Amino acid sequence: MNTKQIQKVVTIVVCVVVMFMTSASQAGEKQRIRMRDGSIWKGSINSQVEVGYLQRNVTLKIVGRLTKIEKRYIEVVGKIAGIKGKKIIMRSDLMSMKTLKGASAGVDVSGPEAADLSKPKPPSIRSADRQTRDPSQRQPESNVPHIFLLPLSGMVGTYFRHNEIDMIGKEADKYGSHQIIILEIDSGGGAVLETEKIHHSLTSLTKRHRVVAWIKHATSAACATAMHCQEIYFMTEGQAGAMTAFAGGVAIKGKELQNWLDSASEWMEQGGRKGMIARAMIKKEFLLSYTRDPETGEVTWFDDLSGDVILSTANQNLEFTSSTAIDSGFAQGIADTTDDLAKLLDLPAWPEGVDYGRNIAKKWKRTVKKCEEDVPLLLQQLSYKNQSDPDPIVRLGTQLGIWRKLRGWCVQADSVMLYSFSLLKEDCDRQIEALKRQIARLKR
Amino acid sequence: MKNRVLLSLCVSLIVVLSSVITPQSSLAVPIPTGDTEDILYMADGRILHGQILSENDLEIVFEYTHKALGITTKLILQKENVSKTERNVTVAVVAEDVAAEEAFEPELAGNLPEDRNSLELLKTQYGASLAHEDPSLPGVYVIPMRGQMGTDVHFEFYKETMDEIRRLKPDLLVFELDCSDAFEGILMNKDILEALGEFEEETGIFDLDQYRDIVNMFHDELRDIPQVMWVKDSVGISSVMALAWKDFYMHPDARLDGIAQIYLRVAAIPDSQVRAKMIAAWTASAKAFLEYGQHPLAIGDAMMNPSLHLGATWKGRDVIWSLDGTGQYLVDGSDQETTRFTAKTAEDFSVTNGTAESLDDLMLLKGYREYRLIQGSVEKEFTKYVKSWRQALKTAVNSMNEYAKHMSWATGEDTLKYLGRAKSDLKRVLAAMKRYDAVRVRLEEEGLSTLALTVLIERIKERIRALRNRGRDSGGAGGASDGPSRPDG
Repeated sequence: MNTKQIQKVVTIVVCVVVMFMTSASQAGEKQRIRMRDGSIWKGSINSQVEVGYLQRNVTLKIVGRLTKIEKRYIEVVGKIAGIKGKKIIMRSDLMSMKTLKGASAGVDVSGPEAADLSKPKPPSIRSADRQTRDPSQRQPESNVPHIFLLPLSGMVGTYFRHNEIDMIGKEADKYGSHQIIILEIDSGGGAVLETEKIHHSLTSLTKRHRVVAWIKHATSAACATAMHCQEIYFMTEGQAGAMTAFAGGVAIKGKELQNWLDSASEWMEQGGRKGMIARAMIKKEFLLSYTRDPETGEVTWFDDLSGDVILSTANQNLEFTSSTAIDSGFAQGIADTTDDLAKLLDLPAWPEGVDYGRNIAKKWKRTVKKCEEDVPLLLQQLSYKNQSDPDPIVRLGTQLGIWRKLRGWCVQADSVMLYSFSLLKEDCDRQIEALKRQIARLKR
Repeated sequence: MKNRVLLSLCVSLIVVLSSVITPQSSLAVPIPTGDTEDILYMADGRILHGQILSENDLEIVFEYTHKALGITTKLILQKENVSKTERNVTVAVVAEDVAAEEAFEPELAGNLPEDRNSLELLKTQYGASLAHEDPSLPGVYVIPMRGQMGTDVHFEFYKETMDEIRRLKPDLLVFELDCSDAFEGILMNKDILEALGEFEEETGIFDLDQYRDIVNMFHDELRDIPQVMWVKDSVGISSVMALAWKDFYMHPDARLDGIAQIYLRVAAIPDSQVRAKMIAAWTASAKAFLEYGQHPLAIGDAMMNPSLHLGATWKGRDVIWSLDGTGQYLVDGSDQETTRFTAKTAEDFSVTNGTAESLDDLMLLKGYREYRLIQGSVEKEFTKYVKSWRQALKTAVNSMNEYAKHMSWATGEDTLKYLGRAKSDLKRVLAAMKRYDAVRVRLEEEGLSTLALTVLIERIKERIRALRNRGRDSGGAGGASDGPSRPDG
């Protein structure tokens, strides 16, 4: 071996040693990561960590193995809603971080699904990011937040109202602030007038409590409700969007349209999302696309078609389905049952006895159904009931009775009478007074 | 030396030739036919002759031929179950085999009834084996979804089956879907179809909410039981239901088509903004079913919107879809028609997991050689339910005709009598609508609501009351001037 060959071998050995030392030092070396509040986490790569981070103004948590520390982001591999996942978290979003001692990686390494009929399939929950509140925001163990679930279904304005939202807010207030209120939404939309009232109710409610939208179907005014919530979960069949307002088959225009675009954008931003998403749901000329960074998962929105994924074209408004909502980050996860939702909300299990919201929703639904059955019949009866009776007082008296029943419905279900039958209490009062006068005249 | 070699060669040649021409040897030596075949030696001892159609790291798609019956069937075999493969083996008809086959045919004809259906039954032996008694075998529960969507296939019926399914604890649920509307594709001109006599009440009801409830119920409440969708035919709104299951198979003759109606029902809305909203909302409602089945949403778009072109590109085993027709393969290049699938195209483009002619085939494709069919009451109850509500509908329609007749006769002295009968007719219709939601749906389609019936009944009551009052006042019964005159004859 000559000198040149010896030099070559030495160089290679040195390089290998340096490379080994570098990687070993990176793995074992204490790293420092600064949180948003200025505090510093110290630890090494491959540590088991619990990381609190901010996503659209909501603090979330992931537990797992710290696999990468880069200048702008860190990478954590952990279990996300029961599924192995790699989470990229921007350093600017880091809220808290602590090293866990003796914890397992929490990585689910289950292989491809085996076609074995004898083995029951585990519940499937997909999630963009497992939702967990920052421990610092969590109530003490003795003061764990209560869960309130309010089903909001049917036409907005009749079945689906701000009144029940206010009622559940008041009930939650009894337990103090920061309770969890879940709005289970299943509606194809309804009256725009009602959305203003819902907006005021939710603006107040979200300041006091953690309000979550759980979407089965949220089109139009129902979507305008859901987008107020900073946390949105979809059911697998969930859909949300298409907020074009129209009357008599014609879409609103001019100043009215501009007001709706402004309001909807503001409400969307109130929920921590881009206003352009709301605009693409309202007017077809507002295009929308997005690009998702494959490494960081960050989504960049475009108000044209230049993004990788096109959501709204010139012929079709934006309506999310569950997969597009999750991929774009519009929603945080998919839950088909309350147990699935409990996991995504980082609850140990779905609590028993959360029936207040269900009960008030059921009661109101029953009222509306009865009203919708009774009122058309009452209106028909005005033309025939007892109208063949020879006694005019009987005829007028029957009509008076019917109008009194209609007035009763105006008191009990004013929104249904207004939106479904265009009938106000004042209209009934006028009719009642007129009939009373006629009867009095006949009796004289 | 040279001579000895030549001599031995000649002797060998003579031996060979003599063995070929002697009758004894002809029974043992294969006769080449010129064709080739592939032979699979299965781990369980079976030897399958046929052709390998395609294969990948995991599976072999094999066209298996049974020589005796002349039946060819396509099998998807897991490679791990194949111990040896021989390719392009020259097919040789061994005289022994021929003799055996000849001997088999008369025996077959002798043992079986003349009905050719019996021969069809034999085909089942080439799928998995069905055994009813062995409780150790995987139990399969078949749920029928046949006939009209929204009436025969109705949420209330399936809700009733849930208890039985829970009680019988099947290992696999198979949804057997066989629903085809009277029309196909996007041509839905009712008048033309009626003129052709092709428009029947068999057309499904457009009720996505109800179908979503059915899908939710099975997916959520029975999520611990594996479920398979097996489509025998699906033309119409049933296709969204078919696509709501990930484990999806089709019968060789099955179609998957007919959801253009979802797009077309809103495509003609005059206001362009409202149209854009409604297209987004309604097509998303349909795509929600594909989300359950984890099928690419582009398939749904192309099956609904005629103006979209569907292109496919393979990336390994996955298909990447495009709605502008770009890609390696143009699946649908038409501006006028929506994308439709046959069993073959659906399998080729991985929309389905395979094609199964029978339940045995399906079970074999699922990887089971033996299974147990759980004999619940669902099939019997389904048939009974369908028969009952359809009979109730017929009776209700007859009652409506009777009502019209009785009303026309309600005049003169018989007014009260026939008004009473007309009232009873309407009450029967109302009762049928309340008992069967399917009857209500069908009659409401004809413009007859429960409210309208209630009003009609109350109006008759009102007339009867008035007539009785008048009768009391005048000392008689009935009013000669009431109602139209009774027809003569």
